[in-house]
Amino acid sequence: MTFLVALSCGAPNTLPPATPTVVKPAQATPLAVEEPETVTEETPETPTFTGDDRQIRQNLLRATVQIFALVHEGRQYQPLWTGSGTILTPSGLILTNAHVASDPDPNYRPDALGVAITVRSDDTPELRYLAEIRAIDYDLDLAVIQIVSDLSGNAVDPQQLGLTYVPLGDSDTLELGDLLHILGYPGIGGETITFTEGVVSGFTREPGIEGRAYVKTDATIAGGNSGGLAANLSGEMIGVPTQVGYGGAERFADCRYLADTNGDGVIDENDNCIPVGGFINAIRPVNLAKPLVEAAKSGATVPATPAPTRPKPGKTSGQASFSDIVFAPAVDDDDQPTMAVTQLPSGATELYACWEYAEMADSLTWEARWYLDGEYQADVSWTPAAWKGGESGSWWLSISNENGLIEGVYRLELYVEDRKLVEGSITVGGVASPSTTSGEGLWIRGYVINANTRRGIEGALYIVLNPGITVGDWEGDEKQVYTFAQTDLNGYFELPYALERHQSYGILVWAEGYRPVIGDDVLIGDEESPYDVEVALQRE
Amino acid sequence: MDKNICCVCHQPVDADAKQLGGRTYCERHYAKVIQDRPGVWRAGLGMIVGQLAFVLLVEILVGLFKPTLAGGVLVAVGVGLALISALIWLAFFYRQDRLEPEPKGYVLSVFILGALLAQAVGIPLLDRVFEVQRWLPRSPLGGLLGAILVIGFVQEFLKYAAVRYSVFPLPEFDERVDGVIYGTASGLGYATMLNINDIIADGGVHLQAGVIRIVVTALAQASFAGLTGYFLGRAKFEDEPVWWLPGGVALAALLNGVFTTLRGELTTPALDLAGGGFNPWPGLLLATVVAAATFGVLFYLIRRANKITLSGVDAGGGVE
Amino acid sequence: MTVSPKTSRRDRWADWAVIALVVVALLMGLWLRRSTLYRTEDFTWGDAGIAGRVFAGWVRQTGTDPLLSARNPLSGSFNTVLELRSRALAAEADPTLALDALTLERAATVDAYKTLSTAEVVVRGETAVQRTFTYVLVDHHPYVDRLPEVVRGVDVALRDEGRVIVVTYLAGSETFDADYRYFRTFIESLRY
Repeated sequence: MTFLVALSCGAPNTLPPATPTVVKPAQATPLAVEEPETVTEETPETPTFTGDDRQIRQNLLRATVQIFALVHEGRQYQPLWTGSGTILTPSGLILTNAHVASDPDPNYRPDALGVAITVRSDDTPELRYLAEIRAIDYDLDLAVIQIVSDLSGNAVDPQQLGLTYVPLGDSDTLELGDLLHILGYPGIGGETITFTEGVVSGFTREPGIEGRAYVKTDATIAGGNSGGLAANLSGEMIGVPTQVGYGGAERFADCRYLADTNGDGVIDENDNCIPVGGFINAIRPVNLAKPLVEAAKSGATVPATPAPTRPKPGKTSGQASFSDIVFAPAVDDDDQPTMAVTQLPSGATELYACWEYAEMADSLTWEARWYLDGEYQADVSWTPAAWKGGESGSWWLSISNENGLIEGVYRLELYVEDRKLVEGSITVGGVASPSTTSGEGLWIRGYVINANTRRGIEGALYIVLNPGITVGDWEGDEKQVYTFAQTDLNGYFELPYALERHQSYGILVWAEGYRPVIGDDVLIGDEESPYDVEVALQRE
Repeated sequence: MDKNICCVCHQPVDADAKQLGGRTYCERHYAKVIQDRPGVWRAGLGMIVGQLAFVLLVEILVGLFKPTLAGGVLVAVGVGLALISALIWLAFFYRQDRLEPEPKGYVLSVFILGALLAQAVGIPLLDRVFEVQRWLPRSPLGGLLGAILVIGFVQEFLKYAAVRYSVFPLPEFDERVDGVIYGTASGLGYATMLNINDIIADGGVHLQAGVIRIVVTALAQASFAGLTGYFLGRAKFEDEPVWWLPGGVALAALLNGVFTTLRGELTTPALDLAGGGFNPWPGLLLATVVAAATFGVLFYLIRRANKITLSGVDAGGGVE
Repeated sequence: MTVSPKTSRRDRWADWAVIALVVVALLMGLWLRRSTLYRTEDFTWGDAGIAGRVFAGWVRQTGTDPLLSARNPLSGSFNTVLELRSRALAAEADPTLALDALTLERAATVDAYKTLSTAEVVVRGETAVQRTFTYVLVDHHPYVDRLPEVVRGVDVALRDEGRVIVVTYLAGSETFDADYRYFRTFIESLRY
């Protein structure tokens, strides 16, 4: 067998592109900025917050969002956790907690952030957008994110969003006894926004933070409100309700396994937990967030603090760790898998195995062992060698064969210092794909027309049943359908799969309002491919 | 017994006046009722032959000139073809009827009434309320039953109503054969409106296939309505049982439904690889046979009834 | 003017008999239409322990997720679809979670996805969460000129022990209202 082996030049120390670019502030904290917020300048047309208390509260309500930390599960997203956020500009800049938007540990970083906006106070918020992190500070536990696309990944024009927002106030003017409005989404998904009133009950200090580190309040706020909105009576944001104590050994005060996030059909500790409990009575003053907001707005890079290292559950601290291996038919320009697969069809010529690593060192030796149907494949495996990828990043290996990979189960085992860190396997072939007959089969295309006008019928179905099944036998089970196509507005269709030659098929042509046309035992001979057909249907 | 008025003109008659099927007639109307009116039959035959000639003519013209029509022109041409098809019978009828004129205004009125009922009631009822196009094609047996119960009864009742509730009670409806005349007129009116509707809904018509459909519809609708008309004619001039008229409508509905289904089957051959799926000619053949058979049978029945009447009179009394 | 009472009475009866006959025929026709259009067949999803009735003549696909996807082949250029899913969910969790997951899945695969509303509804006496949404179906086949189709959909999440059952209805925006009764009939037929 002729395998080609490729090794990633995969940029060490780069984060996967699915993870938002993280920009971290340098030292413990930039200080409060003196200039007043510039947010309102951007949009003179938005309402000003004078007078009516109810209108102020309505405005606050609509500016509060629920944030979903999402991970890819195959081609789909699954929520990891949820938190709250506050819209700062009509163009979709959102202030939240750093632990809502991301995680210092790359292993826990979400692939994307979903933003659910509040439509009505008695409705669950609507997941509408995806956002990216623009600035983040883990020490302050604050992050600024920006809406970038709709859920399908189509970019949105921020200037067209016109979202309801809350201007930033001055948290230094707060005094004991001042009234506060606190809004957020308390915990697990699907609940509606909560509104709490409280008074300022004190202030705390923290080493490294000049001025007020936290504003204490008598209001108790449910855990999921983290990242939400605390506003003064004028409707200005004065702080971010924040779960104090975050950053310690406990990721969440109370985290429960409520949803089948890994899709294995069982809800257990293998799923991602969702924070439901814990109470917050501390508010991170908004003045601490202003440098971040300014940085996010200007696009300037805020120098990063090193992320605090914390022990990772289930893995030994201080040792190299590899993520699970993701198999893919290709990698993109950023060395990321184009799609995760567990099976490749017969005839696939390339197979990529991708993983992420952390706490590696160039001094370590590593090894990759490929097995095909349990048999060690020396020619494609990597014998022990010095690691060259640096401390963390992503890496891939590939095997290829121009004539198609040999079918079977491929297993890859990865070793560091003779210790097996991870393994994964993938099946190549064994999937009967009708398209494999395309080479010698007969492609069918053509028109379904109205018999009396000779014009195309839109939406007609041309259905080919599996050999051996007559139209009369067919009970409407799609498993009995070999292939089918629906006509376009000209009545034109193309069958997606070729029909096998010297084989008889049952064919049914159907359109609403027309008499169906049936052909049993339609024999495919040696006609030239593609073959043009015309089926005339008459109205009932 | 209060039988001393003519059942047609409601004029008083002598006690020994002529009777037929239990009804009393004045001399003039007795003579009319049993008239044969060969012109009617010639018009019927002329219609069938004329329609076939019409199809042939269009096929030849299209074959020769290969017109490329589209849009509004095509719709206009289609509507024109539908009207011509209806006018063929009317032309034959008026020509044949010169000697024994039926009030022309009445025949035309019934034609228009049939068309109006089709447009106002029949087509909306079948397309919107019963939505026959959505479910009739789904199963063969259901399709046949549905065609009889819904299409057949709606169409045949409306064509019946166009005669029964207009000219039927009038003194001008004075011959057995008048039922067939007015029924045919009503059926053609209905068919014309159906054809025009189809052409407009389709936004035009393929001339060759389209003209066949127009002719098939005209022949079929005229035949079944003519049949109902025969029952109406007999019902007016003879004492018929209560089931006579409902039976007539039901028979027409049955034939209508069977015809609709059969035409669909005949014109939809099995699909082969090249496609196909439609051949209009068997439908035309079927419609021609049905029309010829219907008018032939009606001709025979009325002829026979008149003969029996005459011989009965000769035998003396003519009383039932 | 006098008319023979016997004859005219019989004539009137005949008139009414025609009308009665037509009415009877049309009622039978309506029944036939209903039973043809909405004829259902029993269907069970053994592993999931769900039984229900699906419409005859619809093209069915069974699997694990969704358990069932049934499409009406005779419903215009976008075939009306009914889907049934069963997803594990902890007892205390909100069934809306399942709808959120579906929202994410759909939004990643279709164009212009938008949630229209989320509300609690009562299905067969039990509260359920209903989400309506819309998206545009675009055929990217280079040679097939299909117009983008505006699709409207409804998800209803029914709570069951340890899982949610999600019933989905998808229809072209023009046939949505007309076909809605298929959805209602289907959801009413479910037993689990």
